[in-house]
Parts: sequence; structure tokens; C-alpha cells
Amino acid sequence: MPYSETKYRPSPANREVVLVAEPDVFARVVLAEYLRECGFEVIEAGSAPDVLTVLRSGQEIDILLLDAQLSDGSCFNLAREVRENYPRIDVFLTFGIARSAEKAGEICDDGPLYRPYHPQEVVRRIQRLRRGLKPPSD
Amino acid sequence: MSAMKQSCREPEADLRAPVVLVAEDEILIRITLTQHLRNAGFRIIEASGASEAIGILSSGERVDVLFTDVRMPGDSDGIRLAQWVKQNHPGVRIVFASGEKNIGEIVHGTRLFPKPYDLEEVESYIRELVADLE
Repeated sequence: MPYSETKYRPSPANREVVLVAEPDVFARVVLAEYLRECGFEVIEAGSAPDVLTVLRSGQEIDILLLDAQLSDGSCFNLAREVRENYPRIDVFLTFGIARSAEKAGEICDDGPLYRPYHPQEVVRRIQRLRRGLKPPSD
Repeated sequence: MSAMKQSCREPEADLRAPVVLVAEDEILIRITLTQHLRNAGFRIIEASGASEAIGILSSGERVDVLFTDVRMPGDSDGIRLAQWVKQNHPGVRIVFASGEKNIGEIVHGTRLFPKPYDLEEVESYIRELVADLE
């Protein structure tokens, strides 16, 4: 069945959805994977417009993990808009990858599964990716 | 408690599952495709453009297939991305998607899915591409 550009499939029942809004692709990928391992459904967004596109599409979001360095310098306005227009969404504003990882760990503590590893491992993995370390076989 | 929590968990992609890097700037399209492919058992990495995709590949993350939109905003589009991948990561299989009818020459040896594409068809093609990995 072809996808639709405007509609979105409803999320599976009983699974909370976390929208990770993070401009750094390495942090976003690692945080998203971490939260998926904890049992959440995760949507990844790299900009404020993308966050708004997702919300306005009707996609159900339970938690918004929002990095303060999101593009346009608009994270505070975005957080305010979400709290006003989507009051059922829990919004967590974070500053820096350590705080993002810590908050993801807290989310996982309340999630369907115990978190699989310490948030500090999340930070280390993001840093390794940023350094562009290649595996020994390359 | 942990047993009850464990039963809520949907099957996660095997760590040995093929890894597909999806480069697509339109978020709703990217979400729909990546959800479908995750449910199909692939490991998915998402990039909102060519520079993010290059960053992921340069970091050493394992990628088996690159699925990329042709037209994306930023310094590079999907074709330049694919050319870079062919030069620097020749083992990565490449698949294109495009909403345009006439996009000129695409990278040799790759397939193009015109938008809107059928998700099952994309999944089936990617499975063929990675059949030798499984």
C-alpha cells in the first residue's frame, strides 16, 4: 500500500511514543536506539519545523525529548507551543548530550522495560561516533 | 514486574539484521518508510539529508543499504551522496527514491523508486539486495 504524505498510521496500542528532537545526528540516532531498546516507539526529528510537522500530522506523541540547541534557536518557543497546544505531551528540555542521555535514562526507568545500559554508555557512544572512529577491520 | 514488562516488548531487530540508512528530508515520508522497514526486521538509521548520511557512514557505523531521496536540501543531493558512497563505501548497496519524473542519469547499478512508492515493494527489493548477507 503506498504511503500517504499527510496521514500517519496510529501507533500500536499500549506503547508510548517518544519524539526525540535533536539536531546532532549522532546523538539523535543513539538516543533513539536507546529508547527503542527500552521498549518505546521513537520518532526522530532534527529541527523545530520537523517537530511541528509530526505534531500537526495527528501522530500521537506521549513524550517530547527536546534539545535546547535545536535549530533556529526556537526551542523555548517550541516547548511553549507544545505545552499550550498539546498539553498531554510530557516535554523534557535538555542541554547537552550528557543531560539528554540522563533524561533518556529517567524516561526508560519509567518505561515498559528496565533500561538496558547506563546512560553514560549512551554518551560514550555518541562521542565515539563524533570522533569518527572506525572499527579495526576497515 | 519484570516478566510483565518483558511481555509488553515487541520483537526488536536482531543485531545481525541488515542495516538500512534512510536519507530523506521529508519527515513524514521518512517516518512511514522507516517504521515499515523496522517492523520488517531491518535495523534502520535515519538521516534527514546527505550530510547527516555522510556523517553516519564516516563514523564507522555499519551500513548495508543506503535508501536515499534524490532531491534533498543542503550541500549535496542524493546523487552526490551516492557517488560519494560508491567511492568511499563501495560495499554499500544503493537505492533511490524520487518524486520527479525526469531526474537525468542516476548512479549506475542502482534502482529508482518513483514516489509514491509501495512500501512492500521497497522492502522486497531491499531483501533481495541483502540476501547474501543473511
